[in-house]
Amino acid sequence: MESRKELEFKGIGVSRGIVSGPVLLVKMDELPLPDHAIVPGQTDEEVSRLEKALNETRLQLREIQERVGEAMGSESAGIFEAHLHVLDDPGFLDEVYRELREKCRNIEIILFEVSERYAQTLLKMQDDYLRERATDIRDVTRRILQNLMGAEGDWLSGLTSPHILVAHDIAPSDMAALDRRHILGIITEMGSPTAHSAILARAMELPAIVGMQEISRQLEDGDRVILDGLRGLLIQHPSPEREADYGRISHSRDVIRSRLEALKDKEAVTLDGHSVVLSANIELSTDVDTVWAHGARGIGLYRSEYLYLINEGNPSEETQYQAYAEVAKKIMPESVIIRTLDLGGDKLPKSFNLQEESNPFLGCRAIRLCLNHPEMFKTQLRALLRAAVHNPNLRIMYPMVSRTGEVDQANALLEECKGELAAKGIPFRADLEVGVMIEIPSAALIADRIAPKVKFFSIGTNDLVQYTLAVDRGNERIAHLYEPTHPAVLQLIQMTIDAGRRHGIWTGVCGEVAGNPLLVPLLVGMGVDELSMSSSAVPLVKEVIRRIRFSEAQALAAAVREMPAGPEVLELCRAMVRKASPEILELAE
Amino acid sequence: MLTREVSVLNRYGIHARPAALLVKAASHFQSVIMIEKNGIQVNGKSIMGLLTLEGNHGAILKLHASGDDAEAALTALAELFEKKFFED
Repeated sequence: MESRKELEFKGIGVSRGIVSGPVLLVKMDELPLPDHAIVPGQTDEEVSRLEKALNETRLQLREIQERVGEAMGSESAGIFEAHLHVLDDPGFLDEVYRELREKCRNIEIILFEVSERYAQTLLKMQDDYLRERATDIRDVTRRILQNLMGAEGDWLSGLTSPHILVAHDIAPSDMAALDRRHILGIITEMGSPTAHSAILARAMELPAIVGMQEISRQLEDGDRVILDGLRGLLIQHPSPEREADYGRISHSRDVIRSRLEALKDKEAVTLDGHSVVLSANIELSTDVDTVWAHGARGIGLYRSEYLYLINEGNPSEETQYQAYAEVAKKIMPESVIIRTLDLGGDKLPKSFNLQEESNPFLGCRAIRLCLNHPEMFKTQLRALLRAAVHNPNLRIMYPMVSRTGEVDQANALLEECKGELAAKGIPFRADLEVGVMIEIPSAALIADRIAPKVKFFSIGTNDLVQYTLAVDRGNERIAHLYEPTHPAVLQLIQMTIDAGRRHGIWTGVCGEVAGNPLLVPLLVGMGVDELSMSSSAVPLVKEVIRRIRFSEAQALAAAVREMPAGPEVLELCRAMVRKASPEILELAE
Repeated sequence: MLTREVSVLNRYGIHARPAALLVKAASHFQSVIMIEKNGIQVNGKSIMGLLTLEGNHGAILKLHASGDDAEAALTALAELFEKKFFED
């Protein structure tokens, strides 16, 4: 066989996992539409064909909604509510019927044209959420068309072996209907991490990359590719070496995973008896099942942002309460730490009148944004206070704190919320525990002054590294300067832990560093009480902890304090893991 | 035909959820209901129409209703606007 050159393409990884296999190009836009004239007497017949198709579509959507609801929770199923509304839209249907009579063409082409006009109007809008709705409208329309044409409609029905799907865009209802046995992963040209399809891919644990523009032109059906959903990397015609590399990574991952399965119910405790709490970071209430499956104890970081992103930036108190309460109940008796809204203004509707910022990472985001919009913030705080009734270990934490005043202000709003709920006789937990994210150097430096105001610290290493070293790791030219083991970063982490200890509160770490097996012994040696990571990283980290001694980890932390630079620190950490568990070292690299 | 002027008070404007509420409310009435912004009219019972209206925060809209229950329809819809679609 002709050997072809290996090529690498980069997109936005939205759902992690490595898979390899043949490509299947999905050309949905080329659905051949019949297009012909009809005589005026035929319009009634066309109308009744459409009505029949609408009924079938309604039934199918309800079924999808039910199935998705069972498998992935009500948040994912709610996506299809809007689709059902479209089927009953009199304005839309009137327009279709009017054009049918005026143009005297078959119903398929009329329906397509009218719907496409709406989609185009939405695509021109300023607002991200409204633009994304164009995909939803096209999705419903295609489904109606399939029913009209009596096509079995399933563009995947011929698929009998596993493939990696490559499409311009994949509609949410198609995502939900995918047969996991035949789909390895998904690549789309369109899309963003907040699109409905990306959210579904994560919920289905299906590796996915979006935003790979023009990729269909580069690939052919049957091309062998590797999809790395974590890095957003697609490798076409991988060389044998590359295949072997990825094969080894994913094979040893499988082997070790199954071995680590056995650790699920074991404690994360060192050889000399020091315990560390391992918990999981999640985004959706439906992620809770994977928390248990991977043996994490509780949730160290529940990101509330997705609730805002899928509810047009404004989830009601009730919507939030339901979501938080669902997680709180599912995770009982373990704990869940919910981070209050951590978004920049760019993700909120333009009606917030937020000005464009030239430097958003140093701008009005997270707690700053919340304190500027106290009513919005209080809606979330009330929902949290109410949800905590269902789990005494539900805690909350404020992101991006840089001064003590912010903690005071936020706590004052929290007290106001308690007063409001009490006045209305709505049950809530008065002793809800509050913590602070330490992710800005100033917060680490004044941790001693923040500690008396809170019950715990959680160090967000991703931002702490970025702000301490002034490095944007998305910038390829300086990405190598992004160094979690830089002595300045480690010193700030140590200061935070020590301040917490002096005030009798515990400190966790919830950045990516917490899930990096290489750095775990160092963090444990420095005195971190809790590590929170993506659930899939839990088994590896647990394995490392169970193979080291706390005394050795402490010695490592002490040795590191004397070291001049990050690379030496990393080398020492690597040596410790190599000694404890060589296989893990290989996987971690 | 009866007409009433309303303003969009909720911060986020007529997004999917408020649009769905309007459609649901409007569908209870026999009257023909149209919603107008800057001379453009859409059917008040159409979610697609309402979405494409771009009724952002602060926009002034005209509600038109004609039919036996026009008065009641306008009152019901105006109330949704006044109550900010139960959002704020």
